[in-house]
Amino acid sequence: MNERSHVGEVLSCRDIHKSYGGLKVLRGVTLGVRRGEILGLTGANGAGKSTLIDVISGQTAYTSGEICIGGVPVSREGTALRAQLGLARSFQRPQVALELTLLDNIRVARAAAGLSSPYRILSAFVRGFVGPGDDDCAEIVRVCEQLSLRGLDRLAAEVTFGELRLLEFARALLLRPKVIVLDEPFSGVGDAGINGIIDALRALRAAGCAILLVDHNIDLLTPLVDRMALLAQGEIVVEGGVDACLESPVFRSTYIGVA
Amino acid sequence: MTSFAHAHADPRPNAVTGKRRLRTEALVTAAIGLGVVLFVGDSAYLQDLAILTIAYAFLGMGMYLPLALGGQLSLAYNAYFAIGAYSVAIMSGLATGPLQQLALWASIPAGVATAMATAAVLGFATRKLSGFHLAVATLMFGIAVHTFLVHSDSLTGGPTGLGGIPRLVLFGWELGRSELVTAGIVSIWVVATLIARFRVSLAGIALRVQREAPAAAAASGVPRTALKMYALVAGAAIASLAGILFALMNQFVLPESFGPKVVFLVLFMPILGGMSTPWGAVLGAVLVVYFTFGFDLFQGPGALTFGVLALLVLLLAPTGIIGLVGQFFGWTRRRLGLGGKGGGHE
Repeated sequence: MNERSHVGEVLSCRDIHKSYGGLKVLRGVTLGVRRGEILGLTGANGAGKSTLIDVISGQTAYTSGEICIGGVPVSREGTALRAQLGLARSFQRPQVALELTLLDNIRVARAAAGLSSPYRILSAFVRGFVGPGDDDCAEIVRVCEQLSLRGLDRLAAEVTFGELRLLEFARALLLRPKVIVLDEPFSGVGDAGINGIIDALRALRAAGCAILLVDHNIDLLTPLVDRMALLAQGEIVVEGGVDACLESPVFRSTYIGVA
Repeated sequence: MTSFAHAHADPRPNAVTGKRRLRTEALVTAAIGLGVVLFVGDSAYLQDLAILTIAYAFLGMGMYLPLALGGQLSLAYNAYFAIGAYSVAIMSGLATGPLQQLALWASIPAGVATAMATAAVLGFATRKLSGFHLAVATLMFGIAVHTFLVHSDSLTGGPTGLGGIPRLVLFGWELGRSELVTAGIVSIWVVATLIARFRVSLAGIALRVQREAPAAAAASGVPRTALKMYALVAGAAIASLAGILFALMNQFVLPESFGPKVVFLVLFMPILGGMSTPWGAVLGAVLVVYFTFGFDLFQGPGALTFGVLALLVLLLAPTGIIGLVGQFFGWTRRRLGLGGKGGGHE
């Protein structure tokens, strides 16, 4: 699997190993997502899906292997720099500042665009004292409206879990990512929100974004994704087209218990 | 308030980012500031209290920026206070005659710059620390600076301090105590207004999100270390203004004004006044001075009383006095059926 072509991959992980002490969580994961492609990654609880996402985004250090974002090796770079290179992600447990409004939580994506170099960080910091009103919230409102996320002036502490998921997704969208990694974006979200996310993902794919979609929900994944991969015990055991995956014995034994 | 009430309402970006609130706040505080200037007037006693309040307000606002927005408990504020004051005292003593005014004016930016440079070095040295460890390291630094002031006689005058700081002269107009009190109140208004604007700016939002949701901020590309460092440096610059004004007004500096004790008074100020606006720190400063000097009863154990008071506020009104007033207004408006969003959210 290591010899395949990585041409056109916006996100590529090669032979990623990760151990917690003696426990091997990831054992040589290799996967890539190309421009305008949705790769569905699935697997049982504890298969290493969330660890893989944390490794990709730089929140967790890994033992060995190589990760490239847009062709740039980022193994030694921090989370913020990977985001600046075009990687956006959501979290399994939404990470949100509860004391801030939904709008302000999403505005952080806008802020990040102006914080890409040491000089720009300083300049944004100084400009902050002079004028707060330099950003236009219309785009944020529009994106949230499409996801049926409303009432953006509420505090994040006052909204439902599903709305926090949508907030995270909106924040990731507004980073205008080249590659987006979503950790169970549908769980806890209502029907209108799920449809909003699916429409947004299709639009992102059409715009050339690479999407890694991690979820258990096969019914939601199969009509949406271009390829699928199954992670089991820290290894990619099946990878390929949706039909091929669904018919493979390993996949069937994992999901329906029959080989 | 339920989400249902919002279902039809278009989000109003202006209202959400709080631009209107900023304008109201600036106007109201400007009026209060003017009232305070008139109230203090020529009374030497009130001027003394005003000078102390102004110094504390700057220290409180300096701490507010990294603490309330960035979530960093840096306690080296007596050091920045001292750096501002001793810059004025030392530099004005370097020159005589007409050059002395030049040295005095130059000591103002020099004091701010020295405090900023110190904060940058200290911030870099402690960049891996947070919470309790950062607090202890910066507290030790403050104690070290205080010890240095007491023992380094040749530079700082040792325990007897430095005196003979001349009055500032602006185009032949000598700035006496009244003028300096006015200048101090105006500067507080300017600094608090700037911080309030920063709080809702994009950089301010990034700083606040990285405090509460560090993983989300980093994953959104927010460079946390750099932002926190700038917050510490900006806080030090604001705190140094306290020392500069203090030295210019009193015309002498004594090391005992800059002991670590002052840090704890200052730490309570934003908590007492309220963390949702820099004006909370200013209100806290007023209350500190009022409780330690205004009441005979509290004069002895002033700091102790104040500590108990801050504890009560933390327990009973975690949003501080300003937050409590906001909640009261929100409640009144709802009771009167005036509609609108309840106050006290922020």
